[in-house]
Amino acid sequence: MFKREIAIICIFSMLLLLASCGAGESVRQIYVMDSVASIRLIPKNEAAADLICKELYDMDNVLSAYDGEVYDINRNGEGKASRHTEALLRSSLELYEKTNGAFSPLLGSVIDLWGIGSKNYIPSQAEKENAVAASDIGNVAIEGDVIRLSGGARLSFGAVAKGYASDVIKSVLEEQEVEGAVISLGGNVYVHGKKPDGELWRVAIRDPRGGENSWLGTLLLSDRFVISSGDYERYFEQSGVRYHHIMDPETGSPAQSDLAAVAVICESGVVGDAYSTALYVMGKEKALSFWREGEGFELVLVGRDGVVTVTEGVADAFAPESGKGYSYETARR
Amino acid sequence: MKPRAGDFIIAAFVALLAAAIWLVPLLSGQGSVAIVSHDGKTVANIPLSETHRIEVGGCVIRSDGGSIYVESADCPDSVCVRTGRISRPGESVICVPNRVSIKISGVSGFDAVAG
Repeated sequence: MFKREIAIICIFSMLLLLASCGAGESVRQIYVMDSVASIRLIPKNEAAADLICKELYDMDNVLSAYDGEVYDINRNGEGKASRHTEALLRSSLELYEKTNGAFSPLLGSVIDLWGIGSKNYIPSQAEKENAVAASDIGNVAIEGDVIRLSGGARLSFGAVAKGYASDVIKSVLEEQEVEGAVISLGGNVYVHGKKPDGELWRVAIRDPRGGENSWLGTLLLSDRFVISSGDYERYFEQSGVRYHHIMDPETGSPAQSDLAAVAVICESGVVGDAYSTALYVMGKEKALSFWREGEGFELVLVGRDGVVTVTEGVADAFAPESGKGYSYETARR
Repeated sequence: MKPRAGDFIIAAFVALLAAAIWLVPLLSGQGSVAIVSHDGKTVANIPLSETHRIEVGGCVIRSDGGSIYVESADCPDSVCVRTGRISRPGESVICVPNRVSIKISGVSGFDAVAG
């Protein structure tokens, strides 16, 4: 009479055992694009995991600002673009228009001038003005697969390369019919499908005022990118001032934002990456107007004043982490 | 056919084993293990309750008293050293220049961290 119950307990327990050892997964950790890429596919799909790694290495080779194709185009002022560089520049130019220039793929001169995280140089006003002039969007032209730069302009895909790469990974996951996956490219997260138990993925959002292992809340999601930008990622401090890596295209200096971090939740990696940078530069008020006028993305904005603003589309998916000292509000359309 | 005593024992054993495998790492921080990787390959599993000092890819890693940290490293940015001590499941230290990562195994409250 208890036969069925015993069998159920046995099966359930075996499932727990199976789930606990993570045997049915393909996991990779590789170092590309100056960061660590973590790939986790469930159930196991070694072929898809290898394909994703190959794509990442290929993109790393062409998109790096320190060597490869983009570096060569910057040095020579022109060059033939392979498919990734061409696609990324075309997307970037569209996103420049959409964000009214708050994101630009042409800030190489400004970024190199400061060298945040390397030479950490504080330039003069004249140097900044020269770099801003060189970064005018009219200084880049793309004809077929040939990119031409003028006026001292230099490409920099630092704000969008990882987002673009996660789009490429998403297409591999779809082609390979992977059921569930969690991808992180140096903190640019994409969650694909659902967990084996049918649950949504839980994505933590880093606390910009905490350490590397501090988060301010989590989001329950499926088939979404979560991409953050903030002043905590790369910076140096001098005389009590923090000089961070997110450059304002208008001033040629680190953006003076009232935000500490912006997380964008959307269905495109390159869009999320460009928006997270652009909305940080815009500041809270303009970022929320941009969200109200736009569509297809949601936001978690972390203000310097300690207020976390979650837009209504993800308000129910968001769970704050207690004890972080933030207050929370929901933004409505 | 009635179940015999043996059936109950087997069922109870399997259920206990499953519960133990799940609960032990959850309930005891001391039972946590740090997975140390170099260039994506696991090179050591270090129980946090034990005192160890290992060198991996230019990072000097120490564990003691239930946590693990990078004591020193020859990388240019020292992000790994500044990350400090980690002890809870899901926490990690990453040294990108040296391709070294340390991650505490076990069930954490999330699947990925954006930021």
